[in-house]
Amino acid sequence: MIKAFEGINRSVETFLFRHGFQRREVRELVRNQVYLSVLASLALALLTGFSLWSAGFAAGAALVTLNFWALARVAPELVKMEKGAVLPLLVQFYGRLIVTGACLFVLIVWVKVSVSALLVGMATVLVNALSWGLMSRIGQKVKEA
Amino acid sequence: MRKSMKTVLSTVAMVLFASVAFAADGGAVGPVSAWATACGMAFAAGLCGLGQGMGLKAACEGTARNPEAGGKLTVTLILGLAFIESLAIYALVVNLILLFVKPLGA
Repeated sequence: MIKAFEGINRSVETFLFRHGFQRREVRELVRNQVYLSVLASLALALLTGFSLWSAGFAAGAALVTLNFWALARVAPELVKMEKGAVLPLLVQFYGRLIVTGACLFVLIVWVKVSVSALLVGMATVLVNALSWGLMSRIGQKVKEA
Repeated sequence: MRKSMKTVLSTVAMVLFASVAFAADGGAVGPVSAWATACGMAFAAGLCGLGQGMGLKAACEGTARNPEAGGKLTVTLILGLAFIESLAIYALVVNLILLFVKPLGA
């Protein structure tokens, strides 16, 4: 079981590495976000019998995961600026925000998804970041001890 | 300087909202919610932009001073940017609800 999980982890991380996530910590963050959003959406869909609320949750989680994916790809280049290409970075950064806003508009105004479900789904990124911070802090304390 | 700035800004805000408040009767929720949406998104975007800029500035300075710490700084930067952006997205959701779903009436 553990070996199978490690194998899945390795293949996901290889996929992420190929798609431009070269730092291990960033890969772990994105990987955990994908796991959290997919597993939570599946669990909610199964528990609530594929209700509209779970669909709203899945939409929020997917939106925020894609947003986080794009942010995690852009942010290292914003700091390092190795390529020296400022315009593509700006286009990528603001394009992502515009796409997020348009998706939210469509979901809230046209599709009329449950707003609470959307917000809870979008909170998965906060849960992921907080849990990652807590785990790294616990790991640091164990090392110090 | 700061005190006079505060006075000027509060006076401008009062003058801006006074006409709306006096003109609004019982059924005129629409214009007020439009004002609230505009102001809410402006504050959210401005303050989140300020926060992101400060975070990015600190990360760039830290990486320039100590390039070996760049990896850890980048991870912290990504987390900080994600937190700040999620706040702006929440504000956008609330504003979209106010503007289009109209929970306060037409």
